[in-house]
Formats: sequence, structure tokens, C-alpha cells
Amino acid sequence: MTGSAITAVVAESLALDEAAPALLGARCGDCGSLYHPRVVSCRNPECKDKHVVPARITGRGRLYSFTIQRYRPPALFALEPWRPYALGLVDVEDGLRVMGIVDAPPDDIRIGMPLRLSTLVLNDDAETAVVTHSFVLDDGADA
Amino acid sequence: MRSVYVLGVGAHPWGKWPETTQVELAIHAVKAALGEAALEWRDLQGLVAASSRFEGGMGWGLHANELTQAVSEHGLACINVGGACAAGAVALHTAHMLIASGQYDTVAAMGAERMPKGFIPRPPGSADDPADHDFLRWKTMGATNPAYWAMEARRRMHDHGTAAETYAAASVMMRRHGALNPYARFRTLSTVDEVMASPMVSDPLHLLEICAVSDGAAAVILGSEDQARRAGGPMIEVAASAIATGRFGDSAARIPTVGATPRPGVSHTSEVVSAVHRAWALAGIGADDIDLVEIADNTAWHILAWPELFGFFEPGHADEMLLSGELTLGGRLPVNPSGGFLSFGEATTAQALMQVCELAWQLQGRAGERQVEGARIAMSAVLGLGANGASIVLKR
Repeated sequence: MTGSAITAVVAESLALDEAAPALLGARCGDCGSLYHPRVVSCRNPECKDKHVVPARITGRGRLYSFTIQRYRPPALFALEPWRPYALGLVDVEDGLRVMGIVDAPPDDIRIGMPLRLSTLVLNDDAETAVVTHSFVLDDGADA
Repeated sequence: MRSVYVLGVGAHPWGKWPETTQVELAIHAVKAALGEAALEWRDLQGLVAASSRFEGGMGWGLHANELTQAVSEHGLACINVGGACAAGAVALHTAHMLIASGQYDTVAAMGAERMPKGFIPRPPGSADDPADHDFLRWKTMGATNPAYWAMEARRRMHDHGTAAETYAAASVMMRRHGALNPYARFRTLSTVDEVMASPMVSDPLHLLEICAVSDGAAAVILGSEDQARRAGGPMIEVAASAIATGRFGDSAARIPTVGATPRPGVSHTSEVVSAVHRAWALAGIGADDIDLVEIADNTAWHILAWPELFGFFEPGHADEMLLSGELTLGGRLPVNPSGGFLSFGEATTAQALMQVCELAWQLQGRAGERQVEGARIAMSAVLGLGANGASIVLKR
């Protein structure tokens, strides 16, 4: 990348302030349910208190399913230059399943493969690189 | 609660109709239904419109008030309901309760929609809210609706060994049914090879395995038993009308969510499964009693997965049922004799009412070459954004 500053495409959703990126969400203080994105209340009907606190999701998990998106979506998504990419559903921690770009060669992607959270540059210019969350192969090393 | 009957149904053919307004589409559909019911506009005591394509009332269909102000100012009750792609069924459910309560004798449920071209986008004017799944799915990963369906389809291939050609065969079957339906938009036959050769949109789903978006309108007029006897047609009763929303722990890749909390023991697509099973309980029937189903086949995956979710077949068995002809006309469970969303393209708020039109035509014995012989009990199932599910059961 050429930019000198890195910024998250949605700062309230992706934290870049520590060595490893984290998705931002919430955890229920009563039943322990973990959510992403953040929520105003736990939505488990069995849960009485429903009080939630902010949570960081480090995002190590396994791929539940995936697709290759071959057509350019509407303009809000600013991937420059445009190219087809993989999207996946990843079972991360504590019963949470999150969706994100799988940054791997399409032929290497397998259901059940271990993944960890990373970042992908959507677009950049001289001053800034805009990144989104992504998942990459988890080789087991501490990230 | 008193019994409720279908007095008449009507529709405008599905297609792309840039020269026809939503009001004109609606007038066409309601007029046809009024004709079947032997009623005039001024005889309608209530009109319920499926009027919202998205959550929060954003991006509508047509309001009931717009229609009555355009065509008959006689003071009737107008109600506008949301429910996204299930809105038509929510409208029918509302109309059903108006009649069942005894307060009204003639109520129409109506949906009319002209859709923008291409992927259904984020509704214009919605705020950039970082807690909003719909904002995040577009902004952070560009996830289109077909991407969600494709991930379900990919997972089924993993779990049950469904072949790419089997998805194509489901599309071919829908096109074969649609070719027999004058209301369908896509009426040319296709082959597995043609489907497989169509552009890959979102692996493993090809263009011809995903429903398009269309313009269309449909209307169903419900009434009391006295009204049904006056109308003189075959007595088609609403055996059940049920709506439901999603359950915590549902494992479906639900549009537009980017984070889910799947839990064991909760049904997949729980909003629709709950509605279907509630409808069966209300009607006092089970899977074996149903002569045909109209389901929301946004993709070929739905044709295989949904009958299993409802309990018609064991998980993974629909492939064999499809390939052995049990899901087509003359088979054990004809699925979408209308041709389904794959042959219509979706006119979102109108779609669930089109399903009910088809149920009624089938039970009246007026479905022409796509008639399911001897059909007596028919059901619909539909899913809408916002975790809306609905199911209607009609019986003759």
C-alpha cells in the first residue's frame, strides 16, 4: 500500500488500535451471548437481564461456507480496482458466526478451513489506505 | 372466529412494464379479482396493501390509500402493512382477520410493485449506522442478496453432496412450469446445459438459478361464507393463515445480517418453518395432506431445501425427489406449479399474493396445462426481509 495512514472503512465496527485487528461487538452480561455488530440489548428470549457490554472479537475460527462474488455490487462498496472476491461465513468464538471477505485464492478455499481475522485494503491514495476486515488462513502462529 | 373464503383472485402478468404505473398494475389485478368475486369496487369494505419492500417502511410498493383515491372513493377501510417480500402474505393475514372477526364481509389484499433493475440495493435515504447490518454488509464487504443464497447452496453441497447439475435441474423444472403459466415472465424452456452455461453470479449459483426482479401486481378478495355463496364459485376456504418471525439461534444466512448466533436445536429459516407449522396446526393437517406447495424460490437452492425444512422429506432427500420427478406436475409433491419466483422474477410486495392466486386457481381447477389433478389442499410459504415468515393454506 502507498498510504501513510490506515483507516477502517467503518471505524465503529473494526478496531485497529492494537497489533491484531478486532471486530467490535457486544457480549451479554447475563447469558454470555456474543454479538457483532454491537447491539443495544441481548436478544436471547431466555435471557432476563439482557444488559450488554462492549466486546472485542479477535476472530479465529473455521469457515462455515463461502461464495465467490463475481459481479460488482452497488456503489457503497469501494473495492478499487474491482475484482471478484470470496465472501465467507466464519464460526469464530462463543457461538458467533460472522461474515467477511476471505482473502485467499478461490481454489484453496475449503469449508472447515481454519481462519483468522485480518485486514484488506479496499482502496488507497497518497494519504490514506481504507481497510475492511477479512479472513486469512490461520497457520497457527500467534497473530 | 368465523370461516373465511376466497371470493376472487386476480393478477397483472409479471414482466418489465416501464409504461405502466403501480396504480395501473394494481387496478388491473383488483379488477380481475372483483370480476371473479362478482363485486364492484364500491362493494369492497376494506383494502389491505402490501406496501413496504424493506424494514422500517422504506421503499414501498403501493399504499391502499393511493389505489382507492385513484379508483373508488367510497370510504372503505385502508390498511398498509410491511413485511418486505412477505408483505403480501401479511396483507392477506390481516384481511383474513378482518373477515374472521365478523367486522367486515368483503376485504381485498393487494400488492403492486415496479422494481429497479439489477441487484436490490440498499434503500435510498437510509442512514450510515455502524450498528445496522444492512449498512455493514454493503459498506464493508459488498454482500449482495445472491451471495447469501450462494453460501447456503455451497453448504448444502458440502452437507448432502448436492451436485451443481441438480440445482440446474431445479431451475429447469421451474421454467417448465412457468412456460405453462400466462402470468409468468420467463416462459421459454431451458436445459441443464443452458443453466450451467449461464453466467456464474455467486458460486455455485448461475444467473438462471437466481430469481430476477420484475414488475407485477396481484390481489385476493376474501369474504364471509354468505359472500362466497353469493359469488357462486367453488367454495375455497382459507384453512389457515399464519405469520411468524425469526427465532434466536437460527443458523440461516439471513439477509442482510453480518453476524449471527446459531444454536443447536433451532430450525433453519425459523420464521418460515414456524409459520408453516403453525398453519398446519391451525388447519389440522400435516405434510401428507398437502397436494401442492408454492414456495419462495429466490434460487434453485430453495426448491431443494425448503420442502425438507418443512418436513416433507428428510434432509438431503429432495435431490432424489427432484430428479425422479416427484416435485413436478403429477409427482408426489408438486412444487411451484406456477413456475415460482424463478419464472416470475420477484415483484417483492406482490409476490406472496401471486402465490395465493395460484393456490386458488389450482383448487378451482382453472390452472390449465399446469393443473395439479384433483388438488384439494394447497399451501404457500414465503420469507421477507426482517425475518418475516408466512404461510397460507387454502382448501376446497
